[in-house]
Amino acid sequence: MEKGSVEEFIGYFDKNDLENRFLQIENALTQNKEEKKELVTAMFRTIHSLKGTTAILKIELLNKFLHQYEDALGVISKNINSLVGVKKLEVFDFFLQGLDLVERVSLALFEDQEMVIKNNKELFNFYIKVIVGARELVMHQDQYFEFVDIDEDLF
Amino acid sequence: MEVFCVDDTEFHLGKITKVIEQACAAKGISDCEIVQCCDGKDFLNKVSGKLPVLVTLDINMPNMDGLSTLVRYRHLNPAAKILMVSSENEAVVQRLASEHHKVDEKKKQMLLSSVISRVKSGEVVPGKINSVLEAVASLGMDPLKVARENGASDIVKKPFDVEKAVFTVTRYLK
Repeated sequence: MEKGSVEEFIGYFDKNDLENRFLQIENALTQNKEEKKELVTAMFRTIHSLKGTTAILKIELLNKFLHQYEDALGVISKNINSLVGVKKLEVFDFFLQGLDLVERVSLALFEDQEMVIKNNKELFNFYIKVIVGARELVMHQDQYFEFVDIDEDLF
Repeated sequence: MEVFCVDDTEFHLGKITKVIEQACAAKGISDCEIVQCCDGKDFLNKVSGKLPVLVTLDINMPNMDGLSTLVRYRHLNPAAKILMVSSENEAVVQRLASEHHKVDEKKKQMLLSSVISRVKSGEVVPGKINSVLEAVASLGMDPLKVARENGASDIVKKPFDVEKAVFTVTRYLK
């Protein structure tokens, strides 16, 4: 991995835009608005592309995290037709923390391309916390979101 | 001889292209042309009027996903050899998602068949699900199982184990 690769990724990663879009998604999901599907699908594609970019740029640490993050977001996107509400609003804190993590890790890697995250205790703890949050969300989806039986008329 | 590789991620497109090149070399095939496509729609446009010896299809793609492309192209070319390229997590995440779907299997198959019929004929109905992958996800079904049941010749897993992937591809190259 080269410094240029991390710099390229930092230039590509628009955290403010993603945060705003997650806030729109939170609003759309909590109020079960029609535009929820379009917003979530677009976000899923963006995260999927970011994940692909880290693979191309060989930023393994971020690629591994974004796999987990994408899976967590997949809980929403794969179930969007039967997801009608949010039981725990803190689920969106998780997604915003994930963006913080991507920013902090990419800045740390920019400073030191050989960075071993375990040596940076505070960042490592944050990394673990967010990874665990992602897995928790995937494993216990029903605790965070309200699902209904699928509308058969959609088929 | 043409092989079509369909993936929305440049990185993976590059990887599968290398796998195809190695497989062709292993089979002593020197005239293999690899055509890269960025999604299902791009593929259907480029493959029109052609008979590729092999097609590789990513599952998650914008514009037209891999399952929809599989179903549509299998309808247009029943003899096609089609390899699905899938992330290891796909089935796991879907299985977890399916745990709160309360539709029985028979009903799921019936609902999925409606979508597949539409996609096969190229019909798009506003307000309905017009994507096989979206239908599979909504019903909590296993996308790889659906791929096999709808004509996928084989599955290649991402991240690529190059040796395994080359071995799989060589079995389908004439």
